Amino acid sequence: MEVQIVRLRWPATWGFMGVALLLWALGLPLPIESFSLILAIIAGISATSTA
Amino acid sequence: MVGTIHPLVEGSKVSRPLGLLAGVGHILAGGLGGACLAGLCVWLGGWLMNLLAVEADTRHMLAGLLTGLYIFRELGLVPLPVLDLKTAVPDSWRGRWGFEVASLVYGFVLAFGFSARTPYSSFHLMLVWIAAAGDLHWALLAGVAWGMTRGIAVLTLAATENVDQDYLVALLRVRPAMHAINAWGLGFIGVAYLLGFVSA
Repeated sequence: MEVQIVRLRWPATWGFMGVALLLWALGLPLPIESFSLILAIIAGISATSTA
Repeated sequence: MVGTIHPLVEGSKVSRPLGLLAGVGHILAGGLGGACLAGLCVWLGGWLMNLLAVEADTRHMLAGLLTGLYIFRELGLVPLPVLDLKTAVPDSWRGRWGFEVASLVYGFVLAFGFSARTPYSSFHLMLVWIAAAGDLHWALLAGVAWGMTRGIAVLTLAATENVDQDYLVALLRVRPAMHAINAWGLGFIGVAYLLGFVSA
């Protein structure tokens, strides 16, 4: 598993840069409360491999 | 994992409509469990923040810093801890309540969170942001989204994988990808917060 995570580091880095560019391009202010909703959806998807 | 795969394993032994109904019930009960967790989190967070007299800006800053920090955990760079009670829902509930009711109970309890193993940062940071924001409406929306997405993701993945009922292996196989998704999500929030793309 660790090896696969190492392989994903560069795509993740590019992902962050893409996100930054997207936000910069959109220039939209996000409600700070929406962060909990974004995390909720990610946590829900991740639950595929939790107990 | 027994509660997670219960609607799948037991659902394959009953009629298709009944299995589908139990799956939908599992998802809806998850939404309710998530809403209860979020409500509790807002209440506890509000009480604690008032006690410590922490301003909203400080709460957001701390939550933002934690989010940025945990990107490194999800990328496997720094072994930061997450709150993991290392418990699991009891297997005996299947026998006690039967397939249909147990599907509902497992859905509710797993979404409520404290009896499930959650090795990803997003779950814990979601609770931190719910407490930091202190907004009940957004909290309930997030709670329902967490609970329902949880059930939908598990059932969808298991349904689309050709695993011949070896659901456990199929679900564990996606772990590295899930850590990457967590890191990307945390990165999205970190970038949005640090660059000021937020309105408090």
